[in-house]
Amino acid sequence: MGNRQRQKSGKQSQRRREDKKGKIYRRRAVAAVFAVLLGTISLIDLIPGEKGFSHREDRELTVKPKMSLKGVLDGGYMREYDAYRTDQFTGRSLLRLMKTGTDLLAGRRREGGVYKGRDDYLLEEIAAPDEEQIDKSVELIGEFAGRYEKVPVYLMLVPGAANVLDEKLPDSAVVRDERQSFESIRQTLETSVRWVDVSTVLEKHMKEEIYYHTDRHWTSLGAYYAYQALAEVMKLDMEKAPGLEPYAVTNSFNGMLSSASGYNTGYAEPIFIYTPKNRDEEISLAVEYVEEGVKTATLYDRSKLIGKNEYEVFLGGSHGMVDIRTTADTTDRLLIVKDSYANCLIPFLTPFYRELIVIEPGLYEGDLDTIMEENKISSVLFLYGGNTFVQDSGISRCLE
Amino acid sequence: MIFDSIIFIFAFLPVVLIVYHIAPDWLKNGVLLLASLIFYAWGGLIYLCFMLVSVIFNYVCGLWIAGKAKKRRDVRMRLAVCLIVNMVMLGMLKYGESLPGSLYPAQNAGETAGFGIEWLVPMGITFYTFHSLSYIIDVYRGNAKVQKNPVDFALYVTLFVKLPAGPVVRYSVFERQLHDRKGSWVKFGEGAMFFVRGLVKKVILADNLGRLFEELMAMEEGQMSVLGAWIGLAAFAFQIYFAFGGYSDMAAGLGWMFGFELPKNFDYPYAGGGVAAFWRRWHISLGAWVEEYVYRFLGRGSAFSILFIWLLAGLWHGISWNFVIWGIYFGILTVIGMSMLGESLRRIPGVLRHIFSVILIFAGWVFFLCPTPKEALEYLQVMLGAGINGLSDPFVRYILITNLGLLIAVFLGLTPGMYRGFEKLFNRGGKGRAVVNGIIYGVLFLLCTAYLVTGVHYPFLYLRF
Repeated sequence: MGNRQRQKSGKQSQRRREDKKGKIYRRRAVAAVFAVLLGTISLIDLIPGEKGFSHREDRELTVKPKMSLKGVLDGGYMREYDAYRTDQFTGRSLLRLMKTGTDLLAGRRREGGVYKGRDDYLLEEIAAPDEEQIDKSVELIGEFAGRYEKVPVYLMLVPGAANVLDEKLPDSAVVRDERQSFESIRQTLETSVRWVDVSTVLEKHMKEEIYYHTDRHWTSLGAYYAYQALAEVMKLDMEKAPGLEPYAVTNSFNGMLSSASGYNTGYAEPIFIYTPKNRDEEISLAVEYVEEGVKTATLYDRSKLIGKNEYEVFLGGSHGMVDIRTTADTTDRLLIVKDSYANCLIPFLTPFYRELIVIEPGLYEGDLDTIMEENKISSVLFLYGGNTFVQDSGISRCLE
Repeated sequence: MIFDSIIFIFAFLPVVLIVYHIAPDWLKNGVLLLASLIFYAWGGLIYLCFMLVSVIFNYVCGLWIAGKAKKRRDVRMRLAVCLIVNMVMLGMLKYGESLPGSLYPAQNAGETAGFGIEWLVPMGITFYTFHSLSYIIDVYRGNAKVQKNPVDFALYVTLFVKLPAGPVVRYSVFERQLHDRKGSWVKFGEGAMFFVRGLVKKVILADNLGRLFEELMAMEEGQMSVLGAWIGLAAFAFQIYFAFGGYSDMAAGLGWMFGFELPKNFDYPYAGGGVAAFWRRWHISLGAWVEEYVYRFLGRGSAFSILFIWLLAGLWHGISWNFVIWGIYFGILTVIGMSMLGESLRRIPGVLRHIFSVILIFAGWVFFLCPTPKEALEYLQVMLGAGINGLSDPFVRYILITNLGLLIAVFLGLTPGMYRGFEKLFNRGGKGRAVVNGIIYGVLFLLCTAYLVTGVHYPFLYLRF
């Protein structure tokens, strides 16, 4: 062998020896890392402590399943046990952060039906309309309005943030435009029901904080603008309305969209209520949660500010029927058929009515005709968020 | 039990590893057997009973066939009996539910017999049956010594490492390792690397491709564009690819952890070579098994046997016209590939030929994607541009943009070159790079855990076969 050839093959065998050593080091290193990780995580996961409700994710976590002969035979019990261990895994929150972070890095902008938009906005997907259900609800509302010709019936549907704040959506996101459905509903009910358009006024103020960043609802400011539009259509006597100023009841609100998606879990935003500037102009209230038999003197439930779902400070969340009596100087009575969107708008209406009967069809057991007959209702308002209305079956139930 | 679950990774595996390594050598196989039985029983005690029946039956068959006999013809008859009983068991358990007048509780919901249990096709039934068949045929042919130790035999059939997705190992290959394997930290490390890679392929790539596919189909809602159809099909095809590839890697990795060196079962099928090469690389051991025990028996080289085998392969996935068409389609392609026409087709330059093969394979997957032949044809039509909705649509663009990271990872994972480059870089290093490598695998493992705990989970398609 010539000198050069010897050098070459010498280098080659040296390289092969290095490779072999390198391979061995690599495998030993991975073996150590893997063994340590596997051991540690398994041991940590053994720590007992069953969590029932997860505040971060806003849902009930799976609990330990019951063993049964059938379950063991066909594996059903084991499947449930798998789900139980996975849901109760120690360090779940941290792991969820890892996953969401990686997904975001990879380009994903949607999780659990929620878009992660610009300026820390989370925007709920616009639901696919259930055409049959909509037609049914619209028909029944029309018939209802027809039955009580002397009583004006108003309908307000609130567009979702994904439509109004569409510039906040992530690039190339495609969402349905529910304003088209709104238009067709408006046209169908043109003769019997008075449509209240809030889409226009919300769009006018879209640069302001009219929707929450981490929740699907509008803010009290958004509700305020809508109330102004409503007052015009209902021809409310604005003399009765006191001057208002905003007051933050909390600065650490983190809403449902955040829990559902895992995005922006650290974002804290305020919830405002509007109170009269002049204390003397404040109206006294007697609020009764009829089905629960609870009476209070305020529309705000401060106990809800402790938990996760602070939006429920308005009217304590969802109740089948709430009866609000005021000291307003009038004999007008309002029936509101609504979903949770109305909760932060109702406070603006209290100066104009002696009594407000608030019904949430999903939870209310009775029917609306009974209410109309038993009380001297002077106006009826249907107030819904678009997403709920296009899928809701409660209205049909109450009106049939 | 399945590999990609919290229970397996953080409860079952550590315990088995520790007990196995503490146990004295003569007890190690017993430990593995017990672990395998528990692993299998986790899917349902009743399925374990069926598997044990099969194992015991085939153990006895082995003894019977190898036992004394007056004439060779008697032995052949014994073999026939054993084969037939096995096939009947396989057929009943796999297809019993879909046959009319079935005995199965699921069929007669609420009626007598079964405790109202939910019936599923037992996991890996084809794989464990094939293992047993290979054993008794090899014993008959004299290629393998009969196994008198029931523990060793049972371990060969039921080892949890290779039960869910193979490889199907020939008895003679496995027998050596039954008694002649040694573990080491290096082997454990090799196993850990394979396992983590497999986990990444299944949990991060395959499951997210599944999510992409579902979202795309939901958005399109019946008005698919050409691009949408292609992307949907690609997502579907690659989901299966990475799920199966991932499971194969995990199986290999687990094997290494216990000192087994199992044969490679999945070798970058899309990396080229044509349709026949694709299927050869896809489930290497299954292909070899079929070639050894079925193809040889039917008569090598005849178009008929090829078509017949492919038809069986289709029906193996389920009794439906879709699978029949799928099988015959690839049967015809294989026959063409072996003919004069195939020869001339192979003269097309490499890249074009590669693209052409991939398109042919994708077309086959359409019959998996759609449940009926009619829908499959409609889907193919859209792919070729005959749909209503034009070339592309905003939903597809959204899906592509928001899954860019995933798509890049998928693309990198498809080519053997990427991984070989990675290997070269890190093998050369020495302790420094070894540590970095260890950290990379550690991070990947944690990431997989994160997705397992909080992500959407797609059950592996082939588990119920």
